[in-house]
Amino acid sequence: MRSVIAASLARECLLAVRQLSDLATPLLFFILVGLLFVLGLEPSPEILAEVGPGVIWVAALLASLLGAERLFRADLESGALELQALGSEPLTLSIIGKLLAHWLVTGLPLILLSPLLALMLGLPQAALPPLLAALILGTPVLTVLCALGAALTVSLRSSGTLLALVVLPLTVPVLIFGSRVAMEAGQGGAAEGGMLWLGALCALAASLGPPAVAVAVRISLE
Amino acid sequence: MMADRRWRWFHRLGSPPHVYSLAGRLAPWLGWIALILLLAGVVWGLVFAPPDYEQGDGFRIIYVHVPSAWLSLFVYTAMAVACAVGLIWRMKVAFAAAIAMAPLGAMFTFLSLATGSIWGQPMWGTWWAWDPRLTSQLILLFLYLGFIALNRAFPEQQTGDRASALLGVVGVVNVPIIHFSVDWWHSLHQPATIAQFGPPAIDTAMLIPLLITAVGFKLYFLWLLCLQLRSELLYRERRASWVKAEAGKIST
Amino acid sequence: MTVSEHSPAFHLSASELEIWRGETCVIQDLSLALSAGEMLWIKGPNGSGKTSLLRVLLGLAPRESGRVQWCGRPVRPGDSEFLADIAWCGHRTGLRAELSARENLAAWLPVTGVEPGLSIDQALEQMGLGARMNLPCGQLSAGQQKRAALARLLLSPARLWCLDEPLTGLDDGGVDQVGEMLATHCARGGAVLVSSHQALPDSAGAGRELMLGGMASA
Repeated sequence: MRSVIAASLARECLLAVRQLSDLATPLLFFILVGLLFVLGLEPSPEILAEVGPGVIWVAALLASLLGAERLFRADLESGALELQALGSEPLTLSIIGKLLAHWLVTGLPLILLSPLLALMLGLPQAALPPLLAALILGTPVLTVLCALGAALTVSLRSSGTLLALVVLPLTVPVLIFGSRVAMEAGQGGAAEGGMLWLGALCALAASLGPPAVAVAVRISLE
Repeated sequence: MMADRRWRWFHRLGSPPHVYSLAGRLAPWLGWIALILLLAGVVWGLVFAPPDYEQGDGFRIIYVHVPSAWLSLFVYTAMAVACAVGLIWRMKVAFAAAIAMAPLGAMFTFLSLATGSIWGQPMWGTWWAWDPRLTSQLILLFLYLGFIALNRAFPEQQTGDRASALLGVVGVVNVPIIHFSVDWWHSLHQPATIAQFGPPAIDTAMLIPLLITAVGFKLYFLWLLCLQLRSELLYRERRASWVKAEAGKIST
Repeated sequence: MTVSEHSPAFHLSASELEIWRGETCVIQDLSLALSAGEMLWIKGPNGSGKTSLLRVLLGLAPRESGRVQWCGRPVRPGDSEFLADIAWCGHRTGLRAELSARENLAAWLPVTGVEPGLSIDQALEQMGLGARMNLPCGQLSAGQQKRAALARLLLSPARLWCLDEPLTGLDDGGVDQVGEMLATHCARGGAVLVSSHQALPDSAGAGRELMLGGMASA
């Protein structure tokens, strides 16, 4: 069981390393969305500090969505997904490895880049630790939800907009809790409730997510 | 043997021709009772119920707004149950029922949004305030639209059914979380300057017509569902012999 | 690991299958049966439903009606006991172009849940890819990719092989080798379900045939 997860994780990481440009695109997009928000708004420090956490979360959300679109496509087209589904080991295990790898190569770099975006937006120092903590708890949920949408739409020819329509409403709680936590911290308050909720959502996504994605993959293989 | 008999109704619900004729027999009853209740409730509510001491006659929109808001959540839950039944027992009728409910649920959600917005104009002086319930309803509308879009996107009906069914089940887990998070967002964002919908202690004279219209709306939904389900079943089963027999009855 | 000489008897059967693809009924009222030591060649023109039939038998695709049974019990999708007995080699190779043949197989092997008796390198060498096993699959020719995909059969202990067009892209030597592999597998008590629009090589030995593109049974 562990070897299936490990093999899937290793495979995905290897694939990611072989296509570094694919990895970089969502990250650049993440920074770009932040930049566009600043340009669209007034670049005054008060406004930016106030909307900053929300902008970072929306950018993270859109970048995750962009990164997820191709998550299953090449595996479906090459037939590798079919072989995983026809293995005697549960498909969920391969999916766990895949999601873990996907979070490591897209979610984690987003978290590491977010201080840069926070700097650009002039976020107060005090808001940074809670923002990072919230991103660590929230991005796995985004990974699972985006993967679910990607698995459901992978067999369709033009899946991009449909993926967004299907996934974005489901991500509302993560967006709300995540940005509120950082915003409250920036204003000197503490929003422990939001952090606890993010933790609960993370646990929920980690436990129910992989089997749900596996079901979605089986449906797309039909 | 006993178990067989106990579950027979359930197995019969899996048979499209049975459900088709059952829905056909139920539809007129539901339709007429809904019409009577809606007429009674609306006349009572609009004409005989006393005006609200704060909002005057403006509150009377609750006789449409509240039942449709209740229904929008009820329909989503019912749809998700149908989706789960379809996924677990691979029951075709359940998928047909789920996809028949989706546009109806979206319609009631839209109705609650529109009436909420109209109600907001005199109450708040604006057509749209980020009231938590309205915001949740808006997200619910997107959940419905995503469900319908996903179902229709697949060239194969069966695949689309199963894909959207999974989305429906995931969505119903998410709906309470969304509602809670939006409430929480609102409570932090703005101190409660905006009065929330739904009077906390409603007068009996207002409540009775509300309950009547609520039941009326529910029956109206069931009537629409029967009609919608019948046409959905006819379309899906167009290759089956019982549909050809039905068509033969009509043409002769 | 290969099928042991005395593997217990097994039996795949399908009855009254009806399969639709979109608005067309591709297979109607089809029955088939396959036991240990047998080979069934599914033939028919393009679009006659060969791939659809195989996918339905494996539980990947839904059927309109009919039954599929493995050793007397119905096959459910994702049934791990049944899948442990199946080796699938589809029309698509299942190889990612960015990974080498060896990496591709190494990532796939744990999914089967067994320790093979043969190493991946040995299997690839037997398929004639000894010198190219470390090249990214994108740089291999179509025939070489097919060989890499077929190397999975050598690694799998499954008793029933389901092969969809295993001969496309292979040269004469490769076709003969696949034929031999099929014959050896059947001789060891395995069974083969193979779809191919081109004739199977003589080396594959005799098997039953199922012609699609009309009502048929085998």
